[in-house]
Amino acid sequence: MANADWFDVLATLFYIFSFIVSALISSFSYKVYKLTKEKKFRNFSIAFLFITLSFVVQAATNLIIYFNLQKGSDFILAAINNGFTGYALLTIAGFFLLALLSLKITDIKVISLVAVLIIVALFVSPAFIVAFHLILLALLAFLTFNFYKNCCEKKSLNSKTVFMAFLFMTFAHIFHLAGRYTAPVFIAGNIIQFIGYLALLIAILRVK
Amino acid sequence: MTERRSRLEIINDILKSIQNKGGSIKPTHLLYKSNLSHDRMKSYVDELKQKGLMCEEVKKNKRMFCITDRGFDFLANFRKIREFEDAFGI
Repeated sequence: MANADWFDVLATLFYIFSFIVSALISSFSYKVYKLTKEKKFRNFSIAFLFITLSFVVQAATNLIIYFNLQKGSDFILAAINNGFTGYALLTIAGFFLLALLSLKITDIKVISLVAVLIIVALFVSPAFIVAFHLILLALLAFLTFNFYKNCCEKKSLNSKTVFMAFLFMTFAHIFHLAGRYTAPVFIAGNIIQFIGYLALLIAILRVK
Repeated sequence: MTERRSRLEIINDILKSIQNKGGSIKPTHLLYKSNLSHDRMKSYVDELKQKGLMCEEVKKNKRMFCITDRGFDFLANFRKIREFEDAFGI
């Protein structure tokens, strides 16, 4: 992993910000579900709940690393090792569910097949982190393309903002993948991701 | 061919028809504005009156349906829900 210790605090703040944005979207979608009783809103809320939880895990892991607590306890060391796995699984679950909703995939056989393939790719791959970023990149690419089509169809400011948000997130994960080797790229990835979530916040605040 | 309207869309159409007529509408006008059969419109109107989204009043010896504050709130919420749906394409 790239060494960018000084950036850990700022990155943690970015994760907390992303956590707030995801939680806002999740709670708004749940409120809509309570009003309409349409399952798609409940599932959308669950997808963003997974993403919210992933940022909680990511921020907590980052803070533990920053305060060097791993030196003191085997339990904390294990928590750090498991932190990234937890973050990765929650993120994949969230964006996978979001992709199913966005691409309107309802066939249970297709969903099961893709889910099994993702799990196998993640756990059988010798490079878990690379596999995670590549899978997430593929999911984000599909989502971004779908949001692009949606924004061409709806032509509303909010649909354009959501498309831009996901475009930034896709680029952020390209940077995250490359950023494993160089600190500036890793930092740039986090900043781009922050811009993506900022765009999502603007979109949800306009709706609320 | 146009898609079938959802329950919420029908409620939105009914309340919007009343709003567009300045807050109150004759039953016959609502019938053709909402594009429903008489029986279906009656069941929707009964439900909306029960939930406090619309009310019935008599103006110049004529029965009129009117929209309540809760009805206006519903229209505002419905617009937000549609914007949310459109933004994410879900």
